[in-house]
Amino acid sequence: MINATDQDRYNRLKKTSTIHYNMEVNKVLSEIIDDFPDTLSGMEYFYNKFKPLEAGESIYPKGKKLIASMCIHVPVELIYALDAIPVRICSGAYSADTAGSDFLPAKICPMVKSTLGALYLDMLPGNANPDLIINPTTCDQKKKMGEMGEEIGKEFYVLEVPPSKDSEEARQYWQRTVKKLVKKLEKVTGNKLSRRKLKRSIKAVAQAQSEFRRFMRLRKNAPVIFGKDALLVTNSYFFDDISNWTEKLSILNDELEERIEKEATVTGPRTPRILLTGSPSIFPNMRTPILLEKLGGVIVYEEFCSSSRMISDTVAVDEWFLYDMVPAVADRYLKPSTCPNFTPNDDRIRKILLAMEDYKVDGVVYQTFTGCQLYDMESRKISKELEKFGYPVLNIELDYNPKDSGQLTTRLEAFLESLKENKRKK
Amino acid sequence: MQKFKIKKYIDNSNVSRFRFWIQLVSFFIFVYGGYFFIEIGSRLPVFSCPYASGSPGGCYLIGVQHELNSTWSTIFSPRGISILKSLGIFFIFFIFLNKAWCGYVCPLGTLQDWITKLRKFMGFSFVRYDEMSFKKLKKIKYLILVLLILIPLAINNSFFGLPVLPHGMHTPFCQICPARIILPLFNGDMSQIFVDFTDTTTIIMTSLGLMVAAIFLVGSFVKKRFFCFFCPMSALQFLFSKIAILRLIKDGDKCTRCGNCSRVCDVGITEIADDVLSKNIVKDDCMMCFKCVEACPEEGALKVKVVNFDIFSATEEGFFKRYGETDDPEHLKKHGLLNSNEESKKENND
Amino acid sequence: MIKIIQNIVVFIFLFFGFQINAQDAIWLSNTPPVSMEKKVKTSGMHRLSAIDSKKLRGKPDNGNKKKGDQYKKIKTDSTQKGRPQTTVKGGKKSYRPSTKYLQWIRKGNSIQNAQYICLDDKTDYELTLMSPEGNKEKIEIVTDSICYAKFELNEEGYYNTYLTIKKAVGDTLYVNIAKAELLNHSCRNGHHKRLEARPVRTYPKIIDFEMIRSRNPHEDYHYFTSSGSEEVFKVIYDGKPRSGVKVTLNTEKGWSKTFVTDENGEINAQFIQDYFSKWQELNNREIYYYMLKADYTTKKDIHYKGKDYSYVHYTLTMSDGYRPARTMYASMVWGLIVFLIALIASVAGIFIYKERRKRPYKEIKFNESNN
Repeated sequence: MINATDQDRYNRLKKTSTIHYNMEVNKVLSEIIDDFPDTLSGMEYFYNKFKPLEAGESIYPKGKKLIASMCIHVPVELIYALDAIPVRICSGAYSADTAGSDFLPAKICPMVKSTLGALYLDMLPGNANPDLIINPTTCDQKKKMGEMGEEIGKEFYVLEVPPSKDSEEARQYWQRTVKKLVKKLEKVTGNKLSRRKLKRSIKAVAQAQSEFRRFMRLRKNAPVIFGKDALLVTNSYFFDDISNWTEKLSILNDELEERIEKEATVTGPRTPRILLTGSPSIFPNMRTPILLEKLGGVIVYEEFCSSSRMISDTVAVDEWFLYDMVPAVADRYLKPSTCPNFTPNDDRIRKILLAMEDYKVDGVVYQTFTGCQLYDMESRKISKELEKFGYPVLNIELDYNPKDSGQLTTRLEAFLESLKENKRKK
Repeated sequence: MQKFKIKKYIDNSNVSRFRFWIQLVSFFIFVYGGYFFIEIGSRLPVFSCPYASGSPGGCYLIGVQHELNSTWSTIFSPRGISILKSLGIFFIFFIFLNKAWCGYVCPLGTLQDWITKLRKFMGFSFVRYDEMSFKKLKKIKYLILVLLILIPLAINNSFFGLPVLPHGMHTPFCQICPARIILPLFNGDMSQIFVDFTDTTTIIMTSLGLMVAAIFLVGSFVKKRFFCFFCPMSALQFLFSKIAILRLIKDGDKCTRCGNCSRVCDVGITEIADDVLSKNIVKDDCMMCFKCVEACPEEGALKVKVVNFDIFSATEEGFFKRYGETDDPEHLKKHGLLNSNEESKKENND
Repeated sequence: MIKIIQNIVVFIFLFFGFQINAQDAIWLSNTPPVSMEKKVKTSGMHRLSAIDSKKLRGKPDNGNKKKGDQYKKIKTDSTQKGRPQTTVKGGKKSYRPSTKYLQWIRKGNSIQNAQYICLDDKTDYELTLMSPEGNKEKIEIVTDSICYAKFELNEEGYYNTYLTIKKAVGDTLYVNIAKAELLNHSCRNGHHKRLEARPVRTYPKIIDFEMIRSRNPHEDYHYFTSSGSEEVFKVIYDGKPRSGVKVTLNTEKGWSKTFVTDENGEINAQFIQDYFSKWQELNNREIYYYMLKADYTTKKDIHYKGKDYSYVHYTLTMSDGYRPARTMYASMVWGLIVFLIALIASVAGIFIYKERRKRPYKEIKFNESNN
């Protein structure tokens, strides 16, 4: 497929991209860990999860199939039940973004380009070599990305997600898609879906959800953990073994509880509490949270699909048989989803409003990636709704390029100042 | 602190199991209570059929049909006050438990739940009504209620000059009710399985009753709480449901519309999940079994209240206790789901 | 010669008196004569007759105050217990217009041919109505073309009516007691008390010669004698069961049988339908009437109307009914057949419906393996 000169070019591209990627990762990690005082001991585990790329074998255990996915609409419980390992390959690497620009127009979602590039150059974290890549048809960019599969030499499996989640037809359509997915997964992994395994995996994921919800509950108080750390915790969920993740998060939660009792907060009481929403911040693209918190704010809630949306919602099964468990799992990935690819998406506004109250949020930062039309279009509606209640909103647009930080810093600074003013007035 | 501990205990409890025991005791009381000299009254808001000799009272519907089996002159005379009086007694019975009479007490409902357990044991899947069928079918109970009120009246009075109905239809709902045939079986009495050949009306009505009983059994097997969808008692109760003491309140702001509640609902009500504006979320089909509250992971989104006092609300902790507890936590904690080759091979051979 | 004529006269007198008393028993009946059938409506399981009150729509019955002239009260009971009749205007008590039930007096042993008679002033009679609680209730006797007794039944349970007629012939006092057991129960009032009928009451102070139908165990107010069932009747004299009393049972079509009470004073009578109506006319509410007559003569010194008598002859009649046997009109086999057909049909129906309807994702069905 690729001739000799193409092969050379590919190898060079891969080499440079890897170097750039490692530089990026190291930089971001140092910012996260070193630039902030008072790191939590429980975070050690999560920091160690994010390493620069090293040549060599994949870190994932052999003997089990690796199922890569994008988006939060791929049911993880089913993958676990079939003895496979789910990996979410949504990428935040700028280096891969430049590689991916070859395949897609420059002005589209950088995350999609980055993922494409990472796939093309085999630069997935942990040297993952997926046996199947599931591409859900959620936003336009992802849809079209699937068509590039042949070019980059990978096979995509299209998971058809309905464009609406309210109607009965959409629900039926989605359930049918999930059943088809199960059949495909069974073929790829060579295992059959069994009742006991699915029950076990649903409960394992429920344990993870329980710990995560506890984590979020602890953040309702005076801040004992920064948003950047929280984002790393949730980002590691993309590829970590679920029971390890749950265990370590539980240890972290215990530590946070201790801190709450000792009132050892990470910032002062007058620090403005921020809710971050919009296009997801995925490691290593952590500019917004790092900047915000360096500039004197603290993020208490992220309404991202790389954070709370991924883990919060639960599966409730009425009868523990496959005829009810599979539809229950499918329902969980459709009905409570506040992804803007669904229309209408009133649930997102209600969720944000509820979070504003519960987490005592002072201001909202709404970030949009260039070319992310869905979040861009929703930003207007959400800003209006929030302003009705008197909450200040800052809309920022950015992409993965780290050189754009100057303007971003100014805007964030100004916003934080105004929030501090508001707080002082109260 | 004590109050919080009690509240926490209740919020974390497994209501379905509690409900199973209450249903068992209620079934015993309402089907065998008469043998133990238990007398509860004859205007009950559940199907405690007086045709069964062990019944401790009677269901209100049989009383209504007998009372309305009179001429207009009798009904509008002072003697008709007894109709209002019995309605009042029914109302007083009803307001204490609201529609939980259906979910926790009704012997016919308990029977359907047991048939559902049988189905689960045998491994058959269940049926759900789709949206359109749901909307159309749920009107049938109102139709049955109207008919059971009009037919006894029409036996004694002529409506708009139409001929009066034959006397054989004197208690029309009792004649088609499955409880009349099935509950006496629990008292060892098979005498209600008969076709009365006196005249055409009785032939039709008794045959109809037997057919409804057969459909009841088959329907309950494939759909959870099949009969409750068509029950006129449910329709009658709904008229007073808003002012009852036991309430089910939803806080729409906290709801994420995840649909867990309507997914576990036996009757299949979708409004619990989708309606984020109403406070009182008891619909006409609801039987207040509170499975929805059990399945809700959002803190305080669904609450069971006695007037304004919370007795059971949806909590995160409660949800995960009920749905997240694994059957072998040791296995998960130590080994995790994904591990070395040996573990995965062992699991595959399991 | 005169002695012979005297004896013949006495003999004839005795003969006819005896005949009259022995053959033409007087009994109480619930069924109206043909001439009154239109004015009367029957209600309840026992087909008690009452005046059709359509003409009295909405108007309360004020007893004798307003319409007193129409009814000639011959004899009423001394003690007036029962509900006070208040007018609607003045009274604040809850008022219930009560139904007036009727009974007729018939004479003759044959149920179909017995005449409806009136009792004239010369006859010494007394009409008593005893309530389930043991209270004497008021009875009016209405004299019209046909005479009938009119009374209210306010309590729930069995009422007993006693019509006692005394006649003296020779040195014997003939006491003819016509008894009726009436059940007052309406399901619309609910079943507050235990449904079991209470044990039968007797009133030895009022009626000394009595016959009761013994209640079956677990009998309730919905019980009705049916063809094929056995009933036990007990004769009580002076408060104690009496053996050796001749009891005759007459059924509608003229069949009769004579029993003698045993040492417990009881007779066992099994009711069997003596005719079978046409299939189309058969209904589950049809009542076949019967009449029981007990005759008993005892040597007893008794003073009546200024004279002494040494014998008393009691004739007690009681009329009631029985229904056709349940198996005549109700078929359990057919019931089971209908039930099973409906069961199979609905199961089949569900299968077919599921197959026919387009269930898009039905092509994928999971193998429920228990791994």
